[in-house]
Amino acid sequence: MMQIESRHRRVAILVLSALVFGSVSSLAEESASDPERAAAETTEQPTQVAHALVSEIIDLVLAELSKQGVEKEAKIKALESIVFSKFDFATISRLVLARNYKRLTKVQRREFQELFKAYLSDFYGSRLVDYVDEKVEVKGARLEERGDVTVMTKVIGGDVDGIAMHYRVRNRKGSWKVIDVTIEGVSTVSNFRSQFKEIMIQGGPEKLLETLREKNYEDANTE
Amino acid sequence: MLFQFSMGASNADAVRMRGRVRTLIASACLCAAAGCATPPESDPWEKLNRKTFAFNVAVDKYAYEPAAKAWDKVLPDFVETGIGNLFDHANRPFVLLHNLLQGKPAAAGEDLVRLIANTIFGFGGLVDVASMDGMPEHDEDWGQTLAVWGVESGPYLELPFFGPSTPRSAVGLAADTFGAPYSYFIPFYASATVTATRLLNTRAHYLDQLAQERRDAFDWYVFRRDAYLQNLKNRVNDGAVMASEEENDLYYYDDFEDDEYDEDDEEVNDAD
Repeated sequence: MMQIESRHRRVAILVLSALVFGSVSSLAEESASDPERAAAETTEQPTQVAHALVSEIIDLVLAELSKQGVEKEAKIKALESIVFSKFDFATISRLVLARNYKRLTKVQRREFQELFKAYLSDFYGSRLVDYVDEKVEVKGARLEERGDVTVMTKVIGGDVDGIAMHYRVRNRKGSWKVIDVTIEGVSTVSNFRSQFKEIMIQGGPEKLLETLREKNYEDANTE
Repeated sequence: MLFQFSMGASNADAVRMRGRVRTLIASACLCAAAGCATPPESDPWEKLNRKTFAFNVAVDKYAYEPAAKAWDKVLPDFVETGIGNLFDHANRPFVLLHNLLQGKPAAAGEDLVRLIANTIFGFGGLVDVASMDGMPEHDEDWGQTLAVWGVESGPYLELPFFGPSTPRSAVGLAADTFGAPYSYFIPFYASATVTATRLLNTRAHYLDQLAQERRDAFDWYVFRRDAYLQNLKNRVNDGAVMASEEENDLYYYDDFEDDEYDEDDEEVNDAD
């Protein structure tokens, strides 16, 4: 008898939690239009906050892309500023350099962050600007072992139909920001880490900074 | 799966059998070419690979890219898409076969539906009607089937003309090429034309992307190698989650948490 009762209770708890979770997630959908508030609510699930953040980025980008009569240059600039505000460059800089980060002096770190921020924003901005007919569908969010959230999205339509894009989102000092974008399994952080490792082996921090300076200069002059 | 049916063996037998076949294929194909197991992260053939890569870049620059540009200029986008769809359609039966070989009957069923739908409603495969319905499209080949059977990829291998590969994928590519049924029915020059058309059409599709990649990469060889290896893993696992030690290394390399963030970091993030 006892066993049956406790099973009943367990079922009841399950149903209840499903109800609660259901209502919370519908709340999250409402607040998705207002991500500032969503981020402020500490009671909310990390997956929901991350979901709202990525949805906001996508909405901002798509809105910018659909603007008519705007110069390509201006569009890239606008896209860059979206990336500027939603990505955590301090963390990304550490992740792409990994163990090599320690080899940079404080001044070099600062310069690296600034240079890589400019580079990465251009990297994404100039890629995104060519997308015209695409829509993006957010497929879900997954809580990772140590607290990050991966938000999974899929591009619908256009040249890159069906491409899977995953955003890795991390909470640092109470604000959620993107720390990596993985496209069809190819992580941006991982790819740059390998390239920078190669440069660090060849010529150390000074060579790394020099390469980045040159690259940014080229980019600024070829567009 | 396959051995189980054909030999009427028990489950344990089948597993053992598969293990033996695995070892056999692995030792035959790989050790000969690869000089035995090496972790995929390291690149023992880097010196040779870089030379082959330089060769491929030159071939692309002087032959492949100009041809693809001409192709792209002459043909409107929808024709290119149609040609691409036709090739995908012709390849669908193989994708289906490989889904069966990998023990994924549900995916094979989807391939069958797609094949029929595109044949009937898509003008014999010219239009991919199934994708408009949001149906998942599978991508399978010999390289991936070998991976599912437990064959290790071996180190990165840059193939002349064909580009990024691994010993496993190279064997798969050869099997895919010689396994194409039309190669037995039509003369060589015709099947070479078919292959050239497919490659050119694909290359034309990536004109902008490749130019951008070349411009953006710090070390194009490393960029391509890493992107290829990561994407390969993703395709073999059908987009599954990465292993946890790998994730730990990528997002929290060992002394990450000891690193203190300072005011400079915040200034970088805040400045627009």
